[in-house]
Amino acid sequence: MSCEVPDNMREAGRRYTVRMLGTGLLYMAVVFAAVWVIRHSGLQLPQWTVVLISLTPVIPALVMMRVYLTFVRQMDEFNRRIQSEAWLISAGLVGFGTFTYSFLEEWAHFPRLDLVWVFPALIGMWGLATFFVKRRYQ
Amino acid sequence: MKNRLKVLRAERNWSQADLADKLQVSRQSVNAIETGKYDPSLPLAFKIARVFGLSIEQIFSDDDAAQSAAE
Repeated sequence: MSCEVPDNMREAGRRYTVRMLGTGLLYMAVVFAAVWVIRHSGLQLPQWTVVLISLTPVIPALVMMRVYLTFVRQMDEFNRRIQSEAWLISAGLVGFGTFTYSFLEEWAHFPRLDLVWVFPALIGMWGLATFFVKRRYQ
Repeated sequence: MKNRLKVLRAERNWSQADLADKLQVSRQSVNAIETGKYDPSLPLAFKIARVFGLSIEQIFSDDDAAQSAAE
């Protein structure tokens, strides 16, 4: 059948969407559960337990990364190139951006930014970069 | 790198999507190769050659080599 993407890639895309949605929901559930236990349950937890619970959202996040990597490996070489370039641009911009901002924080007393924003910034920049890299090849 | 993909495709009345289907790649890949914005890997170049029943050299040509030949 003639279409934009071959059947194997379309099937891979469908699997990716389902798995990403599933692990995304799991991630949100784990975050809410962790926040509730640590901040609202009233339990007096030992420090090591708080550390362990704080790390639990990382597990579904790592699964999401694995789901994404599996999807990228199933793409054709051209789309893999687009993904690689987009991540390279994102890593470069966010890396230099945070590096630059750290000087402003330190010397110009700009407000402190939480490290938690680095990963969302990477993902956001990757989305933007993907759009522009795709356009460049059109 | 230059290529004759568009001409060869037109000779066979194949759309970009038809060729993409035969190569098991996306239509965007075929478009990017045709317009010279993306050079395919050697395995994909061999696959393209197989689909057209030609050799790689009959489809792709090196810009520098073409320039040297013209001089």
